[in-house]
Amino acid sequence: MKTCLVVDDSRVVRKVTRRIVEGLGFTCEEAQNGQDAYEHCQSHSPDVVLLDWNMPVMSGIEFLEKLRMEHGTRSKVVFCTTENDIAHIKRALDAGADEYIMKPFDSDILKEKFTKIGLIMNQDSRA
Amino acid sequence: MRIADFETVRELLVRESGLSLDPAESFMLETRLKPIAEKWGYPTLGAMSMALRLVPDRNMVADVVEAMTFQETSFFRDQHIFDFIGEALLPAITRHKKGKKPIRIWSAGCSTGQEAYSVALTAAQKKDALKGRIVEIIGTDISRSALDVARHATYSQFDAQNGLSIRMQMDYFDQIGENWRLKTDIRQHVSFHYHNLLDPADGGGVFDIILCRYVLCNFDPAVRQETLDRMAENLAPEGVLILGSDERVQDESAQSDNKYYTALPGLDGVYVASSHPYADKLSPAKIAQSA
Repeated sequence: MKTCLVVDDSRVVRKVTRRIVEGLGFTCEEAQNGQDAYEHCQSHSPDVVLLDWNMPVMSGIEFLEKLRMEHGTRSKVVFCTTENDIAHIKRALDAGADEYIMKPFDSDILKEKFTKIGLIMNQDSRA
Repeated sequence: MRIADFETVRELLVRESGLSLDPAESFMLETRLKPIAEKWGYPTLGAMSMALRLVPDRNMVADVVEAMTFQETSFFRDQHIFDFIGEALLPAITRHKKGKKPIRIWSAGCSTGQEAYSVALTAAQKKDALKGRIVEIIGTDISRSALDVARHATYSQFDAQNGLSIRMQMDYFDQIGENWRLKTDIRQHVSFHYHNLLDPADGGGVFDIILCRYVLCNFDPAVRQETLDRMAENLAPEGVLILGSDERVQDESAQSDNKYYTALPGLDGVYVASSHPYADKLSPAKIAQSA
């Protein structure tokens, strides 16, 4: 079973996101800021990290830059944030984000994004 | 809603648009028609239903049809279909089509335009394989308000990211406040027109690809068959018809093969014109072998 690390300082967002992610068949872990997420990734390699931008202690972008520098691209990273302007999106992609979800989102959008980065098979595709 | 009122609207919808309503959907009918009743000054749906029965105003009928036929859509719905169009269809049509005539594509029942634009985006990404050939995409729908959205090509953040990768969104859209608008170089390949699928598309010409996905499944079965047969007149002899992945050109109970369309093996809902000269080269298995 694939694993997803949900990183968000809001407990409510983590809870809702966990429910969606588990519904897609992933095992879910949680972290409440970039530092927690970084420590988690020292001993685990989640298949995907769903990452908020603004968090105390360590922001999402700081975490991503550190992750890519020290652990390469083993884990896919999908930003999931209210920072919706082009400058933020460009910065995230330049830092190595695989996808970017702008809040609000729903399970269909998350599923589509996971499919686009190869975490979920396109169920409609035919041989 | 009273059964008689439901029947009035149901009959009107089949007659005017082909749409077939299931009694279980009467709740949707109430939700969608209440604003129409208010707009036309009727205190209840029953009163509006009586007006529709006895003195049907054409504009009110159009409002009812529009309210009930407005369909949800998203970018790149069934991604594998757009992969097929980009990887197989567009290059094959480019190779086989004589002269420099444009590749013509019809998105029938296009709603707010995401399907037509997904084809345009696919063509933009396969520009090299098109060898300079122009792709002309025409979207049609019965809903004028949906067509207005399609023509403006501006989508909410929620709708834009529903089906688009972030890189595609960044490359082909401009952010305008909270919304995202497709850039001109994509929009210029697509035009939108009002068309009722119950009417012949005489002025539309002949198309290399017709997409009519998740539209006819809502039609009355007899009307659906007539519509598909009529659509064959607009399909080029080497054309391809793409329905929704769970849709077929005829009921499974049909005694003989469809005379206009032949199923393309390996892709549910995809049909070639029965006279198609190189259909065997379009099969996904063949494409995988030659890749």
